[in-house]
Amino acid sequence: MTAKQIQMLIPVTLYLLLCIWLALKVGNRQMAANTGTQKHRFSKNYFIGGRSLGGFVLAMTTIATYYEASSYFGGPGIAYSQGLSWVYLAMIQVPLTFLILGSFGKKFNIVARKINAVTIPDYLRHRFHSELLVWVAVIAMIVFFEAIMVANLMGGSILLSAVTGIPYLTGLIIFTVVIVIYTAIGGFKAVAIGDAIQGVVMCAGACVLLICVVHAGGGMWNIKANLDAAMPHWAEAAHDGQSKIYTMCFWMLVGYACVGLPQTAVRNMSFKNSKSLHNAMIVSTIVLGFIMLITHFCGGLSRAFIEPNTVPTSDSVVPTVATMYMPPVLAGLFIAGCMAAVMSTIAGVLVNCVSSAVKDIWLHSKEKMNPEFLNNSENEKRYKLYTGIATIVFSAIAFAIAVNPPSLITYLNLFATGGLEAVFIMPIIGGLFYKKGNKAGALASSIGGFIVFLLCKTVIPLGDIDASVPAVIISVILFFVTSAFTKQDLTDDEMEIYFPTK
Amino acid sequence: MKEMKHWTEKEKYKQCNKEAVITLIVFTGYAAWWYFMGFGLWEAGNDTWVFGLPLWFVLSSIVGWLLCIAAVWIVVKAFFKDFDLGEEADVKSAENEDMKGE
Repeated sequence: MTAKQIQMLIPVTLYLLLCIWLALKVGNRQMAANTGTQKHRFSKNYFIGGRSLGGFVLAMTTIATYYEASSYFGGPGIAYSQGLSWVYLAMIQVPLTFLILGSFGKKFNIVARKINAVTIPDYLRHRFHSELLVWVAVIAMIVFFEAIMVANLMGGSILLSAVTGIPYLTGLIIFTVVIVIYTAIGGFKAVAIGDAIQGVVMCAGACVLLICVVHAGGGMWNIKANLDAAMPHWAEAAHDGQSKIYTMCFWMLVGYACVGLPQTAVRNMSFKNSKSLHNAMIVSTIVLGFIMLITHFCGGLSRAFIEPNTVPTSDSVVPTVATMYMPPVLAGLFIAGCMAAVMSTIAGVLVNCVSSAVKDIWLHSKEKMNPEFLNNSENEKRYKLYTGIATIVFSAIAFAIAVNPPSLITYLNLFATGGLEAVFIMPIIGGLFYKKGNKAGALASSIGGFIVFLLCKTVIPLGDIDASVPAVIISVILFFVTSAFTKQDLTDDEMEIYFPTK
Repeated sequence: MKEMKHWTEKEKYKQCNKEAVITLIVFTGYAAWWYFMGFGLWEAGNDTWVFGLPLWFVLSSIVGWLLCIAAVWIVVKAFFKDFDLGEEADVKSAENEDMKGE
């Protein structure tokens, strides 16, 4: 290891220690917080942070969960090889967190308080009275979230070894151990606060990156001249027969459909009051746009002075710029930001995996037989223990797969976003806004949408259109049509929760 | 301090629906700006350059983002309303039990 690599590792190590310290601090305070009766206290504190998130943390955790770790280096890498057209495409995502929070955040939060929901399946079970739907939701979440975890663990460890020389396996172990510690101890709240710190680190890193890139390129006009020579099409909005109407459809639908992602939707259950939500909408638009614009833009510009044969893969463009053109300690800070992105995505979905398995399946089966199950302190201890064990088991599975990844896992990760959208969008959104929406409609849209998605991914060729587009359209149609022709299963009292008449 | 208005459940939900519609309008408005300033201007063959960057990119991606922030800020301040999101169901029912006990 060179002196430069050691210097870079200093901020990285400090960052990891900060994460663990923070989890210990937040965790102990949060777990003791008095947020309801004994029966619900642990679930509420652990899985949803006691519904106490403020605006800034809510904004950051929504961004961090939506913005997958690989986008920090994957997207800029594509911008490097395609030029401004890719930066331009990425920018359609700027108002997505605003859309996720603004369109159904407030209503979802009100409903969650009324029915004591702390997970998406909690809400689905209450709104649609369907155990089958809950099982579909839980299985979809566990399978796709495991895939997301594996892909991020791999991406993070590859990046870490490329930049700092730490072997792949060691990187995997570091990531897994730190994530398990801070998730198991601190729960959702520690994950959310970790996301907030990560966001600040990323913003700082992006500023430094921009200055370094413009400086290294010798100023904007000089960069333009070099880009004109290196890649003549760099300033085009579309090229290579890329058809713009399809691109438009794809990005719009990917955008609108993003409201159906369960890992971001669950964030809407966690905020404290309407002020937090309003602040989060403004802050997240500023921060998401900033990070997205700067990182992609820097990836695109660095083509002016970095030859393609000097970077091993397009993913490593931004880290390469960081190590070559930034002072080592600042580069370390930037790498810490990337690692933070990896860890926050994994931790965010890990909490959801655990809540699905332990709370939605195990605890529910116990409470069905005995509603007072958790009022017994022995049982409450067992619940906490199982939550801890599940956290370790789910991360161990991801670790084991990442050590020797089968090729199937890359497919699963590519399927994850579209698949989750197809399954969850209508049960979540339709259930809140369409009065006739019912069990049959929710089941038809989830299962039907998912089947269409799988078919489009595998058998039916679609050309430029992403499989999530037909899948989401079909699931919307199935939800409305099926619900309109079948009867509502909810009682009037239950309907009053979702569609009050007074 | 201004007295907080009392909201009935029905009014709260109606306000939520209104906010959802406004959110969709802003999102679609941003997409339209992004599209016409980006693809639109580029297709029209505009060849103006600002700070070493093509004008279509500056307007769609940089100015678009700033306008989006302004739009979000304005709608949140003007149309989004603060109100009590309600109590946790378990806290509420525990209180009711206490009342009965007295």
